[in-house]
Amino acid sequence: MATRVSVQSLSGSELREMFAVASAWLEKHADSVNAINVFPVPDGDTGTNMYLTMRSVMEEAQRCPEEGAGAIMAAMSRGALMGARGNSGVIVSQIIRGIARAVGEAEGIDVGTWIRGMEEGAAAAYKAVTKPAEGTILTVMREAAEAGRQALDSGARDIVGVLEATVEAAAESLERTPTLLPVLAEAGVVDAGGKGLLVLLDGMTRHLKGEPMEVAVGAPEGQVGQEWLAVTSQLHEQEESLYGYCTELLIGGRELAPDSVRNRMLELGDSVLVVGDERLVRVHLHTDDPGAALSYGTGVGSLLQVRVDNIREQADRFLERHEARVTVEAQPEAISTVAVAAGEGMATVFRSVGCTRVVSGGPTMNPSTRDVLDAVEACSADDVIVLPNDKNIIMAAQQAVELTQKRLRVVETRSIPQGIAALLALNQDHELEANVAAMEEARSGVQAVEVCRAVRSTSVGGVKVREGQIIAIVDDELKLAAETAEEGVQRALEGIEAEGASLITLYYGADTRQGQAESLGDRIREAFPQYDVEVVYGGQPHYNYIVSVE
Amino acid sequence: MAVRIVTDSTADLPLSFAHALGISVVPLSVIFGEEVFREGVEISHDLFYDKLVNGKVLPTTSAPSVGDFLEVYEPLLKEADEIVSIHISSKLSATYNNACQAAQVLADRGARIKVVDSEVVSLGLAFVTLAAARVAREGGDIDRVRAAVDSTIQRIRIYILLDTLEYVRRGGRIGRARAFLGAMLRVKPMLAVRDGEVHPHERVRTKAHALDRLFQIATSYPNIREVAIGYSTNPQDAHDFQQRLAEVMPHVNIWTARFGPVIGTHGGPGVLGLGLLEGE
Repeated sequence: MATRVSVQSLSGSELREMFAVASAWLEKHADSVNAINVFPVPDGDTGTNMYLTMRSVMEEAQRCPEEGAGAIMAAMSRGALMGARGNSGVIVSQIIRGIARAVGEAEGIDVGTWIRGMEEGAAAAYKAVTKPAEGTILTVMREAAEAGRQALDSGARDIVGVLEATVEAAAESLERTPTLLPVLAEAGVVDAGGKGLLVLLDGMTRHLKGEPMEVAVGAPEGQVGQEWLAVTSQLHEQEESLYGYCTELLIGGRELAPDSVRNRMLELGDSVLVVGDERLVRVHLHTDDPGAALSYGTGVGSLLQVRVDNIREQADRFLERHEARVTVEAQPEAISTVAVAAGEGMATVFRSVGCTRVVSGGPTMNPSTRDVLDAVEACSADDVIVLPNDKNIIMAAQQAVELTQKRLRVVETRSIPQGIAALLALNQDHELEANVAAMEEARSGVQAVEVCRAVRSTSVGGVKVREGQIIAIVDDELKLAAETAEEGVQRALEGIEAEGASLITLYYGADTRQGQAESLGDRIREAFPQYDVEVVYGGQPHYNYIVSVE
Repeated sequence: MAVRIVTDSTADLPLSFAHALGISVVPLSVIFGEEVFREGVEISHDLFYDKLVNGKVLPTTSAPSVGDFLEVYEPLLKEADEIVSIHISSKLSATYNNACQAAQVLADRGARIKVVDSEVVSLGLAFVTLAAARVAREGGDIDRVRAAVDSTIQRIRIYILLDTLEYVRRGGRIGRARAFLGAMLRVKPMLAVRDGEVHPHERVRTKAHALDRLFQIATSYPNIREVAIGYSTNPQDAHDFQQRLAEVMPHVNIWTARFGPVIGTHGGPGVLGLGLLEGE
């Protein structure tokens, strides 16, 4: 073993620092994790989801006034639970909760406790997944924990040594994932969630070994920029800020420390997002004192860009516009519904069929457990049904169940069309459980086609895709590649076996013109005379068309 | 003859049933602007739906007059001792009130006429009237007829499947079904009638799924005595649905009826109604 460092136990502040470095390490590698998602759709977001989950973990850790390992882990566990995004984020949150439970209220954590926590976390994660598959982050976590247990059994008591054993095992396990999951082998990648977990464990170990990690040099501006817009716009749509001004800064300098910038911003407000390196740091926060954020920026470097918006005014304008549009009088409801959907048009469609709250998000930006929870709490009824409308949001939604006093049920809708079908089956005069059953049945009677542009070249399920080509996904399966979105829709519909189906609904996206969608509708009417065809504005990002066949 | 049964045209009772059981039907009038037609007498259902769909004026209905009731009651009293006159919910129409007044006029001359507010309409009213007529034909007296009426009212379940919300919207008589308006997607709303009020039940996007749901509802009741299927302009839907139900409940009496102007005006073309009568 190369290391000379021997650590028997970690204090709370050491834990916090270790997690902070591991988060930064993950942030640095987020794009490489995103890049190995199997589907070449623009929701290559496993890395982003895991990083955003860790960001919530670290925000809670920074807020924790106590220094004991138990207190810090409990805070981080809360942050993980609330901030979990995407299935891999939920699984990371399970590990952190496992470790927090193992630590209890102790002042420090030794290696035995750490490994016990990893084992508990792995067991909890397997249980949290409806159909646990091997060759995923679950396998990587389990095998890492097993390696840690073996090291312990052979007498190791040094945290660094045991952690190194888990990292080695995780790396080997990750390499094996394509042999366990054929879809990975075909795409020529390893499991993205597993890789994210390896990055986290690796970051912790390197930090404890005192290796130079250059985390501050990671995440060049361009790479993060792509996600930046999506993340900040989501912060705006989902969080009702306590503060009045949305403030964004781009700080340039020589020895900037994004972590200390972030800590200062957390003191000034909420919805804090700080990314960057020693030369360039991008800041987003909601605060009542934008001046303080600006003068902090000029203190540590120079301000390259500044933008300050009055959020309340924006919110008021938004409300005015939307209140005017509501023609249906609000009625007291016995059961409220929360749906996850991206795009203004889609949100309007959901509201028009009676959805109580729409959480902005979807395949491209998965909402966190907290986002779902906040919407649930804002509903008037004590019985609430959540429609995640994406397979990668189901787990985060389910985590909200144990966090609320309300009776919350998740109907596992995997697409927008399923969500709408389920919502329509809701009957306010029936009991919650009867409605859940009816909605589950309604969602299963709908087929969905999603069409978007491939973000990289790959091969999935025998379908070869070039970057930039249009791909059509039918009920979570990549079916074909095409040159235009319209061709993709039409060919996907030709391949659908839909006995007894009689209605096709085209929801066209933000980047698709109405005329284009209408003429596609006409062509489909001609090609499939047995169907009624309806063309509706969805305004969803990235996806040219979402199509339901029912 | 002991007891004779009278109802009104809003029962949408098939003529053959009325003839077979000796039920007298007093017609309401349907009014298109300046034109007044007595339902089923001066205007056929086909003509009514044609004027509804293609005309600009939304029709209204008006109750039979006291005189209309007297014209029906007086000849009946020559052959019967008593009359039970069963009518559309008094919340929806003045029919019941006018019948009561006619009965009062004749009561002063010693006639015994019992007027009943069924609190239902259409298929529901038909169930009640049929139950009363069957008891009367078996020689039941006025008290047994009343008991049959009261018992039947408790056991009626009505579901209505609309093809469009347009006519509900135009008519404005929608109560809680208001929640169904404003949808940005085409939906087939299903309504349930309870306590004389229309409740939104659920919505589906296609007729095929709607019929499946209606079928599930019909078969979810363990003890069905009788089934009525109503339609406005779509007899084929009604007959197909009748066949489908007959396969799973071969011993149940399942009949179809065409909706007249009361349901037709507010439901529009393409309506399918399901009336279920549960066993006692």
